[in-house]
Amino acid sequence: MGTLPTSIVSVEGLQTQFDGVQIHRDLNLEVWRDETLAIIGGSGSGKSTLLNLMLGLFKPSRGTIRVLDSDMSRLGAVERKQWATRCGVVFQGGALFSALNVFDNVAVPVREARWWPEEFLNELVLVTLRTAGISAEDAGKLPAQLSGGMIKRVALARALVLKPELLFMDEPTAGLDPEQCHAVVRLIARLKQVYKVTVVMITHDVDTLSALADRVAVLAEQRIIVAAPPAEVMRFPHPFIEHFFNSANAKSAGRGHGQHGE
Amino acid sequence: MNPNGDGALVACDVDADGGKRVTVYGRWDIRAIHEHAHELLGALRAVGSRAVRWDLTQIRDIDAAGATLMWHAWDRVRPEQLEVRAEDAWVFENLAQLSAAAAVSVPAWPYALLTRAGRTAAEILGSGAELLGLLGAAAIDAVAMLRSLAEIPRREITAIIFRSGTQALAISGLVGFLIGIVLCYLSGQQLRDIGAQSYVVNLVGFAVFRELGPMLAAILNAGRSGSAITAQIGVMRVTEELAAMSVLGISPVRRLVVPKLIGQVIALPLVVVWTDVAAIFGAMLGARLQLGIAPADFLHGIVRVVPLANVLFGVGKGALFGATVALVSCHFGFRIRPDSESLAAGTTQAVVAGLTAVLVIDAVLAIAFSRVGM
Repeated sequence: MGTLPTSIVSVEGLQTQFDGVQIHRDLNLEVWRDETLAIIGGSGSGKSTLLNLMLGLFKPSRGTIRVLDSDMSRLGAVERKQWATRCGVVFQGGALFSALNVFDNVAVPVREARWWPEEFLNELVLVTLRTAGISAEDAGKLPAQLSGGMIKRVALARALVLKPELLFMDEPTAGLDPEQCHAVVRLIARLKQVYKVTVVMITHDVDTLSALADRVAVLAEQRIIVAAPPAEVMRFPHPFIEHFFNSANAKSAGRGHGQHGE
Repeated sequence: MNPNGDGALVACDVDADGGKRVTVYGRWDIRAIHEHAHELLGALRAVGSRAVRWDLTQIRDIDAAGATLMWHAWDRVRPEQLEVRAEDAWVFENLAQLSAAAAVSVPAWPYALLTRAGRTAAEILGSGAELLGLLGAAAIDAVAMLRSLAEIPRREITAIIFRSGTQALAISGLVGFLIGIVLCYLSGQQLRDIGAQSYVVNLVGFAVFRELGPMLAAILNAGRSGSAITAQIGVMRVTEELAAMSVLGISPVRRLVVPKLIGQVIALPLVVVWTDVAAIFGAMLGARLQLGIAPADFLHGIVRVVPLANVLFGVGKGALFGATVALVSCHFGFRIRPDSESLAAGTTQAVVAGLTAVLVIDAVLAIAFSRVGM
């Protein structure tokens, strides 16, 4: 590209401790603008905690976390609101507001930011929903009436409706069947193109990883042991990485075998 | 303004063939234009309608928000001569498909009013039928339980007795005591004016044992236990515990409704007796302070003038009210849908419907048993 990449998320010397248990120790991580970074790590390695720290939901014991030029531990209520318009989040379970229908769920960020006149809101929300693969007929449904795949799509639409610069996703394909999983991965790839957004996602699905990620950051031993393109990470000598990719390969080989058998 | 900059800009030219051409520049995403949506729509409308040529190839970025403004300027129909970058085509295709979808018709207000009235009536009738069904199912399950005594859920029943009974003692006692004092003071004033202050015993006695004791206990019970029962069953619906019970072959009626029904039928009469005692105690204190009636005389008077049938009638009403509150609360609990709004609405409805049912039953009983114990 010629131009130097600019940092959009920067974590430096992060230490996190909960009830005396050390979760992160001297963790450093940099996310570059326009890239898709996947964070992988074993169960209980502190991936979700790291995400919550980057969202400013938890405070670190030591170290700084800067997201979109804001120090997350010093974000006041007013700046937080401003910050929220620049950053979208897709939580693992979707975290849709159960009392609001699909349309109103997607309208929440727009109404909250007072960014768009109510008279034009209809088209904005419905087009955003359509882009995420939800038809206008489903806009009146309540979250309880949606399938797992649809909940992810609505959550994506809600996260993207303000055209954020940065999108966080926690396990975007968790709990979906393989077909839905592929559909959501394709959708994320397309939305990333359309919305030109930097993506930081937590995942343990290798298919998602290889389809979407420009770089993979591996969280093990309470820090990021490597952050590099997927092919490089696969060659990195570390027991966790070998185990992670080997078990994934075994799984996909097993799947392939099953298909041949049919 | 600079056509090469980020600012949204609309320009108007005339092509070689004399046709009017509108060219749009800059960033047209929500982030860039949200502060001037109305101005930009005005600018778009001022330079051209659907009839002119639209050139959107110079746009730096566009999303659903910017496209919506143009769509409004075109009165929601795609212009015949529209040039757009391939990467932006999706947004206009989506808008066109939206407009093609038929608008939902909203019935005019007299019909809407009629529809709503009909719907409410149907809902009340349906609710009544469901309630009756629930009562029937509970009765069948209760009888089935009596056949094998080992199946009686003792722990659940005692838990309900504890929550609806023991834990309600403090508040029921306080309210009963205060109402007793108030009743005595108000009626004592009037009776003293006509020299009939000794009749305060009759008045308080009948009022407390027949009406106030059972009613106060039932009102507090509907507010405390009724709402708790609805919320508990509602949360079980939200967390899919009800589904899990059904899958395991456990009847939710037998496991949830019957113990609550039995527990309430046992607990509430006891709370009624306790409230009666507290109210009489309050009235006794009031009579001593205001009218100078000695406590011993007051108690003797009560025993003499109020037949025991009144006390039993009140206690019986307590059992009936307890069953009513349990049944109505369970019914509304089962109707809760898995969302937070429904949980709040269901709990409110349960308390309101429970209280209304108690009052209606009380009125019917007052008329039907007007000669008993008089």
